[in-house]
Amino acid sequence: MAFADVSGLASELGTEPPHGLVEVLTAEELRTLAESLALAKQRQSRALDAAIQEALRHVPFVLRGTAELFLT
Amino acid sequence: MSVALDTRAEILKLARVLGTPPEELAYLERAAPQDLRVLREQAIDALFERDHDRLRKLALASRVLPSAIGAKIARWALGPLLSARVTGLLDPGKAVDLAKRLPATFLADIAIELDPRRAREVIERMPAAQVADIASELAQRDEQVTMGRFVGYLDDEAIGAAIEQLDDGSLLRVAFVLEDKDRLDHILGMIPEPRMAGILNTADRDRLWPEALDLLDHMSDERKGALAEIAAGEGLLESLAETAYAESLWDVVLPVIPLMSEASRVILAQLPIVENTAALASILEAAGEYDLWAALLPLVEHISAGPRDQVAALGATLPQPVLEHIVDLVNSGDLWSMFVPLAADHMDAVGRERVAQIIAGVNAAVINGMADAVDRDRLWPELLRIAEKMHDDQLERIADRLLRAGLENRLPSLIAAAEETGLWAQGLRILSGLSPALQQRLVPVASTLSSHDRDLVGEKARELGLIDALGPLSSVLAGRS
Repeated sequence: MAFADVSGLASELGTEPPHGLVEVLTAEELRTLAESLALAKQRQSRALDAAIQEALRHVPFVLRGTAELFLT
Repeated sequence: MSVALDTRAEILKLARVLGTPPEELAYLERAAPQDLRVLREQAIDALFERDHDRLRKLALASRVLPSAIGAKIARWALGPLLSARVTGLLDPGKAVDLAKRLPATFLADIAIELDPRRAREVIERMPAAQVADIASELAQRDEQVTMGRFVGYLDDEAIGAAIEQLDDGSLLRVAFVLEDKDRLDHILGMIPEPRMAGILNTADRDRLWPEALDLLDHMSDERKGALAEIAAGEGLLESLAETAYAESLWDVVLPVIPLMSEASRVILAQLPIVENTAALASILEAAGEYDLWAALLPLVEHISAGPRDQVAALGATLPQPVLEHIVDLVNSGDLWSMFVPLAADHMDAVGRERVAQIIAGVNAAVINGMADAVDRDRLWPELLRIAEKMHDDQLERIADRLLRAGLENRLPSLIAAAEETGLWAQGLRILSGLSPALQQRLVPVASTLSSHDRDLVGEKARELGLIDALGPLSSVLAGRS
């Protein structure tokens, strides 16, 4: 099988994906894989945003502004 | 090792990382498991790197807080995902101290999100009792993938404590997705034999044979044999074999055959699935693909006549190099008493001819081995039926080798076999094919035959027009002086 374009997946991974994997997947499948990782990253960031906001609610009011500057 | 099983396990783990149902990653089944593992670790690193700066700030903030407050914030504010991401950035002592103040339910939540590679020291320092509590919680949630990722980082005490908390089905599922399967055999050594029987029965009841076969695939030979004995004793071999057939996992099962007791091999050979032509074909196909003939051949002598016909028919169609390889294995394993009757009685004429051509071409050591076995197990009639398909020059060469291997001691058996089978032409061709010098060596032995045998041989030789070809022997066998 000819090598499909892996730039999308490599960009999401921050590195080149395994050679053997690229060899057996179609261009469409590599795109799907890159999209799955991109979605996972977005979900994680959203979860982090929500968790930090929740954490700040547990910090005493007088320190909250400083903590917010530190964490966000 | 079964690549298909390893790939399936890796897809489960990658699906967890990506938050995707495993079915949506079915297109990755063509990928090699080692590539999927690298991809998964790359994906985890990418997820971690995306928010690394914010995570590091959180870790720094946690360091200045007392553990009691830190644990409270972790539980009620940060939540499991954030706590997991921060764990690897904390001082390990501080992390363990925080964990002591958190319930197992929350620690299980963290474990699900934690990358063990980034928290190795923290995991290693966790008390065994706490590990067991977390394992119990994870098992209740069917989080086997999570447990499988951690086993490689835990010591024996913690693993032993966790095993006690898990039911048999959970154990199988965890073992299937275990990250570091090199340790699997050692870990299995920590499980008592009665529990192994329970695990196999659970595999049968809960359709977890692929997981159990993966377990088998990663065991030492000693433990594989023991497990096969347990399966035979529990009456589970048919169920196991059906799975091996349905899931194309004969490459896992066949290597276990030589490790089984004779009694268990007989049970295996008599299973209903062995009567299934398609299943038999798949077994032979796997034996060929993975070169498992040496493992499979000892089973053939135990299978009944019907399936043996099928094995012979399928075997007769194998490529020439494979058949030659099998004959070598038959010789090295002293399996002639299985192979000669298989070829003589169960193969058709074409198959017998192919075997005859191979035997005619083997070296003297193989002929010697065959001659010993044929004489010992009284297989001359069967051998004559195979010899029937040899050309004159081949028969002559075989006769020469048989003589060098001590044919003179086997002459009475050869004549008895010719009489029993009526294959006088083949028996006498062996004698007539010898050079005069070699025929002369047989004269003293022929002289010791009974007068009945000598008269009979002489009569048959005359009928077949071979009397002159017997050379010096003719004077003794045909009453010529």
